Amino acid sequence: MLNGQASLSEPVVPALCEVVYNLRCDMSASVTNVTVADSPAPSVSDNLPETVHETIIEPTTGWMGLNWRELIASRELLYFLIWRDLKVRYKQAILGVGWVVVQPVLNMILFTVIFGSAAGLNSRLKGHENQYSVFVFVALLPWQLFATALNSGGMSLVNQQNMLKKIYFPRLFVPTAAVGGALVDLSIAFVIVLILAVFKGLTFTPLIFWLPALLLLTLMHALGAAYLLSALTVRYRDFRFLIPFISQVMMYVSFVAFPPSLVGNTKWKWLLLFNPMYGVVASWRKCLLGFPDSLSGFDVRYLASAIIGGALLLLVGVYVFRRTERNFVDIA
Amino acid sequence: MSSAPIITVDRLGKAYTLGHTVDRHATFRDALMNMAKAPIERWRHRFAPPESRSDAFWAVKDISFDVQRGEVMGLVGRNGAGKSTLLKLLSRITEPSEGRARLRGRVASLLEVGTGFHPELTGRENIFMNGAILGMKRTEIKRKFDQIVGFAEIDEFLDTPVKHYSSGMYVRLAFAVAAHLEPEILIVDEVLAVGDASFQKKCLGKMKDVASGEGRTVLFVSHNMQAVSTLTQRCVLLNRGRMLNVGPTSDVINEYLRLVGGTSQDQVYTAAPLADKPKITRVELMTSEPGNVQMNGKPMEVHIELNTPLPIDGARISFHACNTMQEPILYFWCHDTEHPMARQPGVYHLVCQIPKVRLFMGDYTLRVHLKEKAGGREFEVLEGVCPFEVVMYGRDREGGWFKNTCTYLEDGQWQVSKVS
Repeated sequence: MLNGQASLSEPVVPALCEVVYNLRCDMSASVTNVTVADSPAPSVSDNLPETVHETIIEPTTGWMGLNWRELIASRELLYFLIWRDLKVRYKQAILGVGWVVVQPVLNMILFTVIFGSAAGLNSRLKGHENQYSVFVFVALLPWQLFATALNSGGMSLVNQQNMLKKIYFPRLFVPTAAVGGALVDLSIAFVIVLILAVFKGLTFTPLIFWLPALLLLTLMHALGAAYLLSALTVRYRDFRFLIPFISQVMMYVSFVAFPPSLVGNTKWKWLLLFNPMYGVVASWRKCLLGFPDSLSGFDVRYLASAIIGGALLLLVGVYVFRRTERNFVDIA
Repeated sequence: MSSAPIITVDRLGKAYTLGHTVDRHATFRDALMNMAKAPIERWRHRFAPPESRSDAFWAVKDISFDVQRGEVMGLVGRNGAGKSTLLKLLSRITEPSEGRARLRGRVASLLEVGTGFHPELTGRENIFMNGAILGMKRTEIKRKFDQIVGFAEIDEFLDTPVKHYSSGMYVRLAFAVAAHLEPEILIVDEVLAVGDASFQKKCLGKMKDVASGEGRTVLFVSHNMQAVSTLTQRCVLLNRGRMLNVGPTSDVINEYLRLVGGTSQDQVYTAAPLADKPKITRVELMTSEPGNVQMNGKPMEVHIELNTPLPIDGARISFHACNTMQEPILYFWCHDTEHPMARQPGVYHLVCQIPKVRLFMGDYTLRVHLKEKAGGREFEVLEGVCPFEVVMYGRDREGGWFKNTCTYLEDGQWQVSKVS
């Protein structure tokens, strides 16, 4: 990053004088000298304030809602942030963007070898033997999104603090962009799942049409977690060390590799109601694979828990984020 | 165009909390008690708003001023006066603790050029990224893309990651994007001034092109009085977070110089007299502005005090005004043959009046000599005393002044006639 102070050398200041000096001169000039060179259709309207932007700066108190107008007005920046993350992520890697495909496939192979073959889960999928690879891959879709939200999203504000200290833009976009990047990964992994499913002879049920709604539910969890953790990490750096641990625990208690119903241990399954992420993972399995509930581990109560939990997480996440945003720069 | 001020700042303030004040525990029991209470206390302490806490530190407080549309307003003050904090508040980077500010118009703040640049991205990609962060629309960036590239002179490296750029190229590109912004309110920090001289001139031309007659309002922060006076009509003076003055630039600068000058001890040279040797005991400047700041073209006086315990044969006192390279630019002398002095022991006061200081702007010091008649002893040479600064802001010139243009500015009369 450019160090501003270092560049403040001697001959520099008079030049700056001239910049502003010229600005001043021009203020008395006429309005008509705005010409856009080399542009076939000069849009003069860009140079005229179409609406008067007004910014009020004052201390905010209590619950602050989201400034939707601002978020919508600068939505392009969100796309740019996502795009930058994606661009940068695979730079100077031989496989490049190939990693988007390789990563989930490697994950799936690992799970299939350990749980499918070694632990013998393949044979427990009654009527769907040898489809464990798809089975676990489907659960990995929402899980990877959530895990990225925890890890990248959680660290996003701290990692970008240099930028945040120099310029204002809707800060909510920073963790949102992290989740947005994961969403792109998810769509690619999704295509692989579809190919794999066809290859393994799976047939889809009409439940698949619930997928968009399910994706929204997953995003709710991911965004909520990213907002909450990114804000908390700014204040308490402990989360830098806690997050990998949280993420690991969450993976186990969300039963990504197999639902508890599959291994027959159902004594403690009411506890799953308190992990909304389990409901999300189970719903994906149910929705994409169309397996019976005994195999997918789905239950309407889990789905309800996922919806309520996701909504709460998002609300709390936005709340904590907005509270922290006020003084973000001062405590980071 | 409305006549309402484009920026209204009303009793704006920002409090920070200093580090936690350490409580001394009187006894071990107290310490234990405190530890037990601590979780709740600490929690409360943490979330209490800084302004309500006892250890609150007000970085700025009670700042109120208006900026009119099309005005260039300066923000001056010493280090730690709260300039940066105020800029951060007005750029919305951090939130105020009290008060209110109202900005009517698109705001762009440039506290740094190249914010959001990523070393792994190419020049082309960074233009879009940086533009978006500065608040430009994609269509707007596209429209100006060629201009930006041409301006930064990086055509052939457009698709090279900026981590391979030279620092000059990097800065040029960063500045190019910033220069193509078209906000109604521009908040500029000194750090914006970057790049080599020729590129700077180009930037200036560009800024001139894009500034439309609608009147771009500029809020400008600087330590450099020369810059401030050239650019601004009005200034806000901050000191220790409070607003000391807001008004015409010349008034504010005078006050600022008085403020700065009041702290510096080495503006006046003093020395104790010797019992066996003549000695210069005091050298003082009477500059046109406070704080050893001299306006080019205005009179200046140099006061020298000579203390001699014995008569001097043909005393000669002279001084140079030297630039920062210690090169003598001016020479003044006072010889016994013209102004009889020091023929008896005693204290002598010499005043040298310079009716019109023609030194070019910059920093200077005096080098003072005390000698006997030609070929005689040299009693004393004082190097680098009475540092003073020459400024030009009283003199208007189209295009402003550049440092190191020359060392000396002589009056001249031009005559222009058409011969064919």
